[in-house]
Amino acid sequence: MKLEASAIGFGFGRGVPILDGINLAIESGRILGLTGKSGRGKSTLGKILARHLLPTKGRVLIDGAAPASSGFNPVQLIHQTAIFAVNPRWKIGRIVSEANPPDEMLMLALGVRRQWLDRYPHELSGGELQRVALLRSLTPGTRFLIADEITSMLDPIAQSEIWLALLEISARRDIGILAISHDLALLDRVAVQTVTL
Amino acid sequence: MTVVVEKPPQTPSLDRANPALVATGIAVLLLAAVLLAAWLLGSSGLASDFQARLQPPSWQHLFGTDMFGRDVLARTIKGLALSLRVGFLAAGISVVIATCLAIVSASGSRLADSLVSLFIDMTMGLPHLVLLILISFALGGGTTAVVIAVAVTHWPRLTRILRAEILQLRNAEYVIVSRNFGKSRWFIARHHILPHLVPQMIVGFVLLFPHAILHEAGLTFLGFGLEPGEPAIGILLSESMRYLLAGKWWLGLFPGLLLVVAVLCFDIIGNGLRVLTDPKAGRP
Repeated sequence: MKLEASAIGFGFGRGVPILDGINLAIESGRILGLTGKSGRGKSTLGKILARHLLPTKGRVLIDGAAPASSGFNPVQLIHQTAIFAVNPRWKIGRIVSEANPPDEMLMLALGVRRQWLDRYPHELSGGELQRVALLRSLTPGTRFLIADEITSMLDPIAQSEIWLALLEISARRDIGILAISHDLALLDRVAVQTVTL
Repeated sequence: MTVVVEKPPQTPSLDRANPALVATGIAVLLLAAVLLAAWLLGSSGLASDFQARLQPPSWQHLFGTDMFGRDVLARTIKGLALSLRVGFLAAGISVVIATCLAIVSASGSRLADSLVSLFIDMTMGLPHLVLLILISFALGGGTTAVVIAVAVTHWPRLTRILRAEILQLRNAEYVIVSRNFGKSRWFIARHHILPHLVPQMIVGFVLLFPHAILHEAGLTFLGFGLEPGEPAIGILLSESMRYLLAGKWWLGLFPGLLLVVAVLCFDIIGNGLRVLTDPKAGRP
């Protein structure tokens, strides 16, 4: 499968567009790096690819066709700060089951512990919550993952554990990943190619 | 150099007692007393006794008697029970109207949003009491008319708060994630949005409650509310006006005082709850 950004443009109001004529392609089972200075629109592009935002120009295509505008999206987005991406009134068990019941193997691979399931998001650390957000996003239907600075706020050990797990999952389940980061050393290690915006 | 910081001793003090907790205690006691007494009294105590007309407070009649020899305490309790019932109903209906309109406004089309906003501005732009009198008068007075009049004039402020809350929640990351999982609008409204609105709705209800009681008393006092025969606080106050100059102070003082205590308690509880649900509101 191939996720494509075709001549994507985006701007707020009538100001200078943040993105203009961006073309990008992510293939299944491969990790593409995306870097660039702050304010260049990396996260905005990630949001557009994951249908969190609509582009003002251009199209997002999956295997050459426009994906449905509603229903389950095979492109899932993971944020830098997972706490904003989870309902603060839901327990972790409910959060990870929102799309599908979590896979035991995946739980193990991501290091999500059973005892976390009965806790609320504020009772977990940033790294633990990021693992929870990843587990929630990696449903059987997920084909692409937009990982927007997912480990930039974590310690090096947690960062390494999460990326090792993601590399394994991406290869095993044929999931394409767009790794957005300022950390070029990290992108060198995980991505097959890095694009600078 | 070692700096020793001594912790002040934690002695119980009334200053530290949360006013909302004290108000809740008084309100619960008042509610229990009023409802129990109203139930126990039945229609006894409301009977006329022309032998005992306009008697000042005594051990036999703690709040004195009125111009027909009726016990003012019994009538005040009955009146307060009626006021609480009216307040409960009116505030409840107001919260339902506010919630429905906020959902329509924030989740519907731009036209629906504009219409609801216009409706809010119109209702808030009109003088409050005039609207209340007009609606109550048009509906022919009585308990139902007062409940409807208070309910249909008190939803705008809460609608605005709930609308803003829904608009904020609609763009929350976890709602967008849920939408990306293909969850329906109904699922998102029920599981992600509504639970966040409940605290606002409860606070809105508790704050509307004393307001509704005051309006019921005000409307009745002006003669546009409940029937003159009913033992409502507004009627008691209205009747007492004619006797105040004659020195019969107990006719107005006690019902008025109990009304103020009830209203004040619920107002403090409402504000306490508001601070609890929005910690920023409590900071100076």
